[in-house]
Amino acid sequence: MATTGRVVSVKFLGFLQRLAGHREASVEVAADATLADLLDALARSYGPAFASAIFRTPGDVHTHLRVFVNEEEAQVTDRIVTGGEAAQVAVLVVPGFEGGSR
Amino acid sequence: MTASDRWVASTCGLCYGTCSIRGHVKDDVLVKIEGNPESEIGRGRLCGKGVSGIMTLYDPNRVNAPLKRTNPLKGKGVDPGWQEISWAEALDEVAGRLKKVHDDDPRKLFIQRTTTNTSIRAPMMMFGAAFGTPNSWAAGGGLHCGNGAHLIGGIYHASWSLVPDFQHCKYAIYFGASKGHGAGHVACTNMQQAADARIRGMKLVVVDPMSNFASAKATEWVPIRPGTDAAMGLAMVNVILNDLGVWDAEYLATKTNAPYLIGPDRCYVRDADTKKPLVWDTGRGRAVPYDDADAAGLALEGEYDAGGVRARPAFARLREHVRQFTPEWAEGLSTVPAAAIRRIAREFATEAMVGSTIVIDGQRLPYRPVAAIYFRGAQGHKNSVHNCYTLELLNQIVGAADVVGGALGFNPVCYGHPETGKPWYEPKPGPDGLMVTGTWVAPHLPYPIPDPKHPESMSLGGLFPLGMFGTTMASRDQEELWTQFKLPYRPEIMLNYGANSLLSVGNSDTVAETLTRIPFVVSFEITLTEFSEFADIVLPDTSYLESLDSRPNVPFIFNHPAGQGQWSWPIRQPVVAPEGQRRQCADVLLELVDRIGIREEFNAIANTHLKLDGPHRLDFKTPYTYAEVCDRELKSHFGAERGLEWFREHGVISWPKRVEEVYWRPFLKVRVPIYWEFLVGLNAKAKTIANARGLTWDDAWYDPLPRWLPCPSHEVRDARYDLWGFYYRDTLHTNSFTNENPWLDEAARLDPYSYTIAVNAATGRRKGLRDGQEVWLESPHNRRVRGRVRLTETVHPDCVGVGGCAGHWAKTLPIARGKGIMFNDLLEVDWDHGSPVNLNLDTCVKLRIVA
Ligand code: SF4
Repeated sequence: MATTGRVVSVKFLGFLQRLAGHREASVEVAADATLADLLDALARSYGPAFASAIFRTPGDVHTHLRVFVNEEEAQVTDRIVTGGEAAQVAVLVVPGFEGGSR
Repeated sequence: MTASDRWVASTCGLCYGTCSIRGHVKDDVLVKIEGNPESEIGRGRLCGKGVSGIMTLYDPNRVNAPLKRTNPLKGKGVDPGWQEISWAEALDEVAGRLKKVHDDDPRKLFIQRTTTNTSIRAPMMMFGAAFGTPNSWAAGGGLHCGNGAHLIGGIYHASWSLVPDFQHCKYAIYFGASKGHGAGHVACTNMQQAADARIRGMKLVVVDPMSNFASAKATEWVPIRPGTDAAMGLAMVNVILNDLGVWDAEYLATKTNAPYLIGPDRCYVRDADTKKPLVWDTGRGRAVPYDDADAAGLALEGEYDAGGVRARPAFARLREHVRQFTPEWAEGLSTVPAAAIRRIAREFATEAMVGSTIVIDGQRLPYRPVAAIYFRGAQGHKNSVHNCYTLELLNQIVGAADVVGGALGFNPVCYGHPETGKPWYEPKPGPDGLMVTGTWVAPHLPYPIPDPKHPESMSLGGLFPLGMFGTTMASRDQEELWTQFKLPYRPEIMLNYGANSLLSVGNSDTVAETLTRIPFVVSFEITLTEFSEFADIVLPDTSYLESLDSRPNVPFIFNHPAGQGQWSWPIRQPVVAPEGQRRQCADVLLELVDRIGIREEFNAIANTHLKLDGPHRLDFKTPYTYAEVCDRELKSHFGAERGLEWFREHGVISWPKRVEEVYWRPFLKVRVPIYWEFLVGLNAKAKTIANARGLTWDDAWYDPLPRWLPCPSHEVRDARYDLWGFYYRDTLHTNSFTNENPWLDEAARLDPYSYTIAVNAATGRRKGLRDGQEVWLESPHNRRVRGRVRLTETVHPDCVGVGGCAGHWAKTLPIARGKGIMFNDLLEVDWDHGSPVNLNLDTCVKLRIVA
């Protein structure tokens, strides 16, 4: 991923905040970057524990990962910027908190 | 109808069947509960529990104010010394402690919940996710259900469970299941459908250690030793494939991984460039990626040079593998006579009518009127995965999965209301072309399977990605295992939502010991139970008849009738206003969300979990009441004019099902695994992590082909323990939650079995036992329970059966106290009694009777 382009503000929700060590960060991404590119960059900078919380297997995100752009849920294949507005990306992993019939 | 005399449409909450109800209210008093005929969920029917809900609502021992413990000592039978406090005081303390834990390490919050007798389920799940804890489980059924049956239901049917296509099935075989004859998912509609199927002539064979709810109405009862279902199933698969030579080649070639080539390393042979599994295309005479082949020419048998190795289709491997499982071998384990296994296999294969079609709503569709159904009985074991995998193969080899007459998942395809197209979901192909569910009750889907990793949750779940819950949530050896795996924290707060884990999990001494280690326990309760004795604060919850919920039946794969008919989306709403200081748990949680500072998380999760969209999406930073959240969910699905007010008036919205929703399999390009190749890689990775932490490992559990593997009860060599003990779900009760209901207690006392130990009459006479005699059941681990014998022909001669989950001892439960037997007190909860594949707890135990 190219390192020149635009700056995206990223918010780490839930336990990703603990893994990232802070709530918000600014990340520079290429002009045509997708959310998957952004997640790759985050995984590289925040280390293996963060990466394994995002990716099921290398390059394949967990089915319970959720990404929001300006509060709207987005697909990881989506490009980050829409309509020329600055994007705020929120990333959340919904932990395995459910299941079983009682 | 007048304000003082009205009927209110809502949803039952006395089991997870969530039937739609109507409550008759006179002068603000609920006087009667009936089924709501306008909803598919129940179709106007109720079971005995549903009718009795009025007695639970008006239980004079309901908790009406927040309570605080004054006695610091905790233990079974220890009086907590409750003191009433205000909501403000209670929430100050709870929020303060939660905030501290959240800011320190959210994983220290342990959430335990259930679905019964309590108001709602989604808010607690969303709260846990927003808080950031992976430590949550459902302790109503605890480790006794789910891990196997739901996993296999998800992998093969994209659904939580399965039923026969009651409208068209001709031959159903149940393994430890009671669909249509007992409690459970969408029970009341299933009862009607099963009764209609019987009148139509559907043959029902029930394989079960006890002849009760399903067997009583079956064509044939086949007594079996507990935990040996896979042995009988494997022998049936062998007879069908190798003796009878029956299989549905077209289904196997196009809808499963049967044609995928397997190399000597037991893995797929993959295309060098695309890494896709290869199949042998007989037309082209070469191996090609699975999605590039002519379906008609896919080889299911033979041996080929592909990718530089000799390889065989998965189906050929399966067929060869099952040759070893003869009916005689299965008889030795299961006691089911070899001749009966052969006959039942032949009947199943014949009735499947492989190759036949039928026209439904103008569409010609595959017709396979047979179904193999498995549930609690087959799955409540250490070997649950292989049991359920084997039994599902019966459906798969004859192509009887989600086609007319076959085994149907509960509604894994929905194309939505005609005016909005919502809710919408369908399964899709995932890695290696295998099916990924379109929706799921848990965020961790059954497939694709995450890479195992060093576990960081109390259940060690990361290492066992096929499991949902693990024994270590409440096991004897939890501290030992957490230390072994260097779990970097310990639970500090438990939020319990209506579950009574003292009775529902395993022996109560072990569970009690684990609870006393948790420094602070908060429990939402409607009455005080054995669990409450371990709580520090009790919060008075509303019952289901005083609560609001926009999704009471967990639409639609959890509780909605399968087969043709209508879709129905009901709501739950208060039939009467809550008395005292009772508050709905959801509203309390939303207040805690703000006090802890996790509103952004909660609202984001609500948007994704409830599929709120457009103008109905929650702003991340705005506070909402739970009623507003419900309103937005309903509007998101059914349009701005059909929000909460519309649903309060109408109770339910219904629309017709489409044929491609009901019999979806031929319409969707998804495959399911008859060969579990993914277990090979999973085994290697998980074993490496486990061995590094000193955990012993047995590769057999990760075999990509099905096996029968013994439970601990099958390995007891002490001849004094000559009987297998099991419990069954009594239709009169839901786990331990309904024992305090006086109507149900009266019915249970009249029932010969609810509160007794069922012993085979011949066995009992041989042991000198008589009806009504008081005896002890003793396990090899020196655990024992006492009860009265009921001699009967309806239980396997090698077994004793105990109804439900009774035997309460809390003084706060004056009706339930001292009635029935707590079978779970015989169960060990530790690593040895859990499955090393999916962490399922073994619930059969070797016993002896001591007079
Ligand atoms: S089956 Fe369950 S949900 Fe339905 S009426 Fe009975 S207790 Fe209520």
